[in-house]
Amino acid sequence: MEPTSPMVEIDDLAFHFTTRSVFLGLRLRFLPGLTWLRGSNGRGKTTLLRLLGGQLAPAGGTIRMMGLEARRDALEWRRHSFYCGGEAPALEWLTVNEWLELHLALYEGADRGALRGHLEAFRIDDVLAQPVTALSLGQTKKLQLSLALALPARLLLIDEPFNGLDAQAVTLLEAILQGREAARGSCIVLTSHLAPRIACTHTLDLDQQTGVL
Amino acid sequence: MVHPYLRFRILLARHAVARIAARLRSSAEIAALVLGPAVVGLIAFAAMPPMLAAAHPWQFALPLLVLHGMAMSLPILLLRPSVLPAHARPWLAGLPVAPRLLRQAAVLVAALLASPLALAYAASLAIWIGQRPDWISPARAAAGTVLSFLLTWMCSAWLLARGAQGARALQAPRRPPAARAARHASWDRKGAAGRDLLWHRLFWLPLWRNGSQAGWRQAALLAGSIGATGIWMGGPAWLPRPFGAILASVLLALLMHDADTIVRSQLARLAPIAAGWPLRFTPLAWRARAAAQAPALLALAVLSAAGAAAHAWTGTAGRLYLSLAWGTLPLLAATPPFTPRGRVALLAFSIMLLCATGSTIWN
Repeated sequence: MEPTSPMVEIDDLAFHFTTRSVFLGLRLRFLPGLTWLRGSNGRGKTTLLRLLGGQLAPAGGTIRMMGLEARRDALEWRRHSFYCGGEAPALEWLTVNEWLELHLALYEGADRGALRGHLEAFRIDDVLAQPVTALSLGQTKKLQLSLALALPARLLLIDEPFNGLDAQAVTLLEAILQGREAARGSCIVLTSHLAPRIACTHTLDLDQQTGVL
Repeated sequence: MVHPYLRFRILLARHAVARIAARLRSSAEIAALVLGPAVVGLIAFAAMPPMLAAAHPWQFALPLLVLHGMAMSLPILLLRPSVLPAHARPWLAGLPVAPRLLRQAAVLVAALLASPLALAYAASLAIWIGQRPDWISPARAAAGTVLSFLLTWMCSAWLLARGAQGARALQAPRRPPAARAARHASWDRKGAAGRDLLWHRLFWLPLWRNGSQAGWRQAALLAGSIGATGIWMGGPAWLPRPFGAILASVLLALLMHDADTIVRSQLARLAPIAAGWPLRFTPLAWRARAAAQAPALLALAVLSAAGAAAHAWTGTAGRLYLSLAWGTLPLLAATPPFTPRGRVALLAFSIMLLCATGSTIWN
């Protein structure tokens, strides 16, 4: 694959909530490497990430990645994409151990060694026996990032990755993302209101896109 | 002027009562059809225990009335999580509220919650004083009932105040937690994955954790159903067979209905989360629904075996009952949920059929 050929292609995308439309006729291209997705509040950054992650189904249009189409190949698409949100883990009855076990069972091919390394590097390897609801905002974010970075996802979608992280974790995450950016082996899309301190392959501003309502 | 905190607590309680009333209203006519006579009977006999106690000499009457008044306040423990909802407790804990105000709020909320009991007592008292049986002394009966109600009210207020104090001390475990195997990483092994793990994590653990009573309720219904079956088939002299049939049938149908309701609500909760997982959710959902009926299958197996041993299935009524009991399971578990009202109608219909057939087996 040419480094400059798009990895993810969105064409004529339409998506509506019951009370308002978010996208109509949106066309976007994502290159391998790191993409900074920016836009003012309520423009649909998180919605776009969820659409790319297969959590939401578009009302119209296509999302394609390396021969896969998000709606047609839904299961295969979800194996190759991962949305790392900022909200608290939804499975609130599980411990951290159980939460990780569940996700490793769902995503075959996850790198357990890398996961162990990320948990240690983020300094949350001592919370494994705790319920996921007992984690602080920053610990939750670190847990989700540790998992996300250990999955064999071609398309990694990270919503506000630096929110709630301490200074050490921000530096660590920046270094990891910088390494992925240099390798260009996958497509990483991150949203952030503040400009990331790392160089991104390209920047997409939803405020400037036609098709964003 | 009423303090805003008192107004807020009353508002919370009114919301809780309104939610319960809305739930009941959705199936009121079905409940009235099935349980109407029983409810009328309960209201008529509501004040019977304190009236009977008051008919004794005071040295016996007083302890009985105190016990009755305290016992009648216990249902407030079931209502307390509704009037002090978990999502509001951390916020309530941070409010600068004086203990006196807390007590006042508890007394007012308890009055609101106990008011239906007061109405039932009044109706029951009026009926019995109007009937004037030999043993009743109107003044003593009324005094005993009022005393019992006041005790219920005060105990309810005390239980509510304790709940509110609990909310004020959320962050106060007195001892450090027991040492945990914090670094034990059970995920760090391959091979544990599989459908059993998904079912265990997604459907089994939620039954028991985060304050869920669903697991214990299922266990109690299963034990009750098997116990009632044993009593029915054993035919002890102190219990007429039809009562055993009714008890076993009601518990069996409730066991099936409860299991299905639990798994359906868990599936509804999981569906938006699982939308992003690389997982075919529909087959997992069907497996979970089948697994949820395992307790009911066990109860049915016990019923079939115990009935065979007691020669209950030899006649037409027995064979019909057995078919209906086994047919109720797919009827409740495989039909769409329709509406809450439709669901209650289906359950009530199943219970009525089972009770009517079961109570004629030994006729």
